[in-house]
Amino acid sequence: MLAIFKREFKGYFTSPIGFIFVGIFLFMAGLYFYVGNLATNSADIGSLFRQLTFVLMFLTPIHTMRLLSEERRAKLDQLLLTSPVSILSIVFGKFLAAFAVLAAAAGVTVLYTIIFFALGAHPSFAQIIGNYVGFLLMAGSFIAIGLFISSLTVNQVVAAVVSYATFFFLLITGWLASKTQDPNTAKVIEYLSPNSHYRNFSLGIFNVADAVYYLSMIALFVFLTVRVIEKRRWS
Amino acid sequence: MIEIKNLVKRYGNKAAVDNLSFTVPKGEILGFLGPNGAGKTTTMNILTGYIASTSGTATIAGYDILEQPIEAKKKIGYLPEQPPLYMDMTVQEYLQFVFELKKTSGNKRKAIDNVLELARIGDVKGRIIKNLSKGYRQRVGLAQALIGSPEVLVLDEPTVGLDPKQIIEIRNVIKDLGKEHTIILSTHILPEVSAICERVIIINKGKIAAIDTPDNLAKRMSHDSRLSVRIVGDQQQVLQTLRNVEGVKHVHTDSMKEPSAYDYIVEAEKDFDIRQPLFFALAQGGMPILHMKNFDMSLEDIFMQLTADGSKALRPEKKKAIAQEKTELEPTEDTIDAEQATKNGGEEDASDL
Repeated sequence: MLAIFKREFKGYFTSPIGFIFVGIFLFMAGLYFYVGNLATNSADIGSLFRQLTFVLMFLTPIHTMRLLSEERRAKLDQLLLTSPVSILSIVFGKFLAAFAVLAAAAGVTVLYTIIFFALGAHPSFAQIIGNYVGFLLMAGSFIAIGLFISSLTVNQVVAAVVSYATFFFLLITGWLASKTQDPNTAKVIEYLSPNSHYRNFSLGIFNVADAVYYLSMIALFVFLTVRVIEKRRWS
Repeated sequence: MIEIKNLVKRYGNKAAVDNLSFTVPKGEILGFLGPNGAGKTTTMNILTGYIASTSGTATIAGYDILEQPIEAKKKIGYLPEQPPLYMDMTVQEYLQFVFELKKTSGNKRKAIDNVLELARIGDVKGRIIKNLSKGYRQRVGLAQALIGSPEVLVLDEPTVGLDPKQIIEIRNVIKDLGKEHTIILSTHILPEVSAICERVIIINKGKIAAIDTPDNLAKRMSHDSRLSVRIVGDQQQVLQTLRNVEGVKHVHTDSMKEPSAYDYIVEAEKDFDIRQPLFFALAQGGMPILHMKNFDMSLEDIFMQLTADGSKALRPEKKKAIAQEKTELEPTEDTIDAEQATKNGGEEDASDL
């Protein structure tokens, strides 16, 4: 697993994709930070991260589209699947690599919180940590979904487009819930929405149920990815 | 070392591999022959655990590939048809990655230096794989399979894309490896099999058509001797003369290769060496022989015989294509012999004059 993680992580930076992803992410983060916080004298780190979750939705498909599709196209899966490693460790190694790149990019934004303090603003630590934990959990679940979608196709573009559609749907689940008449249905839809689980984190409230939601999304889609690969060997 | 039992792989209704069974003892080099779509690659993919069989078992060193995949895969080095290379890595990085991926024990640097030398790619180890030629990529693929010195090597057409000199080199490498490793290799090229394999399996439509040593196979197949002779002269007259030679069973014209010279396929009765009588008969009639060579049995010939139930006559254009492909691929011993024969023939002609 470590070998796959290392190779995949490096792979992001031997191709333009890693740079494009990190570059755009940091550009957007900087823009939001400047416009939303610096220029308007606001120390609300929650609003900054809420904007960043949108950026995440737009960038994750690019980030995950080639994870498994490209390998299958180039028949590289033949090397991985005939090596003495389990499919789970292949999939999880890739997941971790994608996650690490994103976490590294998010790590740069720690600078912004330092700037907050340097400028005399004092956002609460609970809120800062809540936002980072929530953001990373959300990013993890998006990457797991993207990874799963990239296991379904050999075409990177298809993987990206389908991921966009999926994320767009997740994005509007909150709106769908608010338009649903039946309160129980609305509750279910609301529960499925990744944004609704982010709300508490954004305020610095650590709710186990929210963390469980994101972690089970990750587990579910990693598991499904393993199943897809496993299934393909048998068909 | 390798045991395959009643292996079946079905894609929908079509059986790519149909009830295949064979064993490979430790230290043997087994050749896997068959036309495209015969099921060679499928069998290899099952054996290495890339795909699962519909039914039947494949066992490597006592480990079932489906039941104990990790243990079984540790014993295997696999070079697929298309070498699985990360184009954005250097050769050395790639081999390091494979070393770690395969959880190989021992000294990493030593293991990598070793395979670099075996595959003779030490001079490109710092280069990015994307920029390598096909032949080098093939060799990097081979190096990858050799990492950790696995007990079983599965090589899917290892010499494809190499130039003749590299082919001979790689064959020698494989031969050397065969002393310590058990090897299965697939190929289209019969001379390759006779050059390195101890045993051959011919497979067609997913079924085994024959298993034997290459010598036995060739012997079994070439029950009558056929010659290809290029002769100058009037076609009818030549045919007439040829048919009158004792021991000749059948003659037919192949094609015109040079102005006023035709190639003829002469089939002799069993155990008849007709070359000398043929020479004298034609010399008497004033029809010079430009060259004469044994019609070698190509894989396709053997294949036709094994599968098409003894129908020996190949269509001439197919034959030609095959012969051409062969000479393009490599100068085989047979063609070298033939060249010598022509040379000798020429000298004889000269002394006649």
